[in-house]
Amino acid sequence: MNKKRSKLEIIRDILEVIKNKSGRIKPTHILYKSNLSYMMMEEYLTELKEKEFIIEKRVGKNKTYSITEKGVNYLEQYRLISNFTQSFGLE
Amino acid sequence: MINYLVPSWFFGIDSTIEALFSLITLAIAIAAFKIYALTKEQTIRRFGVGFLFIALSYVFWAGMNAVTVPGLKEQFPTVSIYQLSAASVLGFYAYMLLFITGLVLLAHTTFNTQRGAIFYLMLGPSLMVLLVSVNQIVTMRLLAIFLLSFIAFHYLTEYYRKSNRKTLLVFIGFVLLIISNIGFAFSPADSWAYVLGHIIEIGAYSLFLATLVRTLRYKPS
Repeated sequence: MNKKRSKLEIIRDILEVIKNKSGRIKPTHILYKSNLSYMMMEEYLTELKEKEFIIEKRVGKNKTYSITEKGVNYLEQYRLISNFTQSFGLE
Repeated sequence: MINYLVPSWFFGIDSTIEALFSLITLAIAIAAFKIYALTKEQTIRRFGVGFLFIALSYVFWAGMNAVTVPGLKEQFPTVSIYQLSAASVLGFYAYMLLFITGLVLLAHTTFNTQRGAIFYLMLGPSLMVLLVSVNQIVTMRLLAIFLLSFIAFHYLTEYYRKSNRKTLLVFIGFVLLIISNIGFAFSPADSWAYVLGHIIEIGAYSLFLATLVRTLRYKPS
């Protein structure tokens, strides 16, 4: 059984999915790849937009997401973030 | 009432040690703020602010011990509020209030909640009890012991959950802080309790510093 992911791990997974799609991805694709329920995914995407880790683009009825520099920076520094938060019990 | 016994030979040594503690806790706060800048997680920011308050508390305590108390050392082995200037008394109150507020912030991070009301619920009674207490030294130390116990228990459960050795170091550090505060609670009666409290705190903050250094040693590829 997979252990439960922390919030920071889930954010990493979502950002990696978006980044691996060369910057533009639809919500349904994130849903399949991130292994989250639709409601959880929407909550996380809203939070990531507020934190400016991702940008939402709307073309008609469709929306896509792309990763920002802050989001890329999060991924690059993830090991450090994880080390710190695990050591100091902040996960 | 603020009364504690300090061996005259320890004057200067205590303020140096306290200044060192302020640097270590400030380093932890800065690291936490850097991680917050990357993650925008409020819990991490609260953790940083908690250690910042503790760092500031040590600045006040070290400053008071370095500037005011040496003038007493030739004559009085007991540091009493009645001997201190108004500025020093304010400095001591600042130390107590900042230290307890810092611990409340750290305790709040152990709850999985963003609700600020819980923080104020913990902080309000703590500060009220401290301010109306007859013996503020002992009350402050008892409050600190209570809050540190909460925090230490959190790190113990985190260690059992994740088996992370660095978390174990942090847990042991907080346990040492509990023991040092027990020592300080006896400082109104015994000057050696004041000295031992500082020595044990050196152990605690050394563990925190070691954890911080080992954590930050990672370099991204």
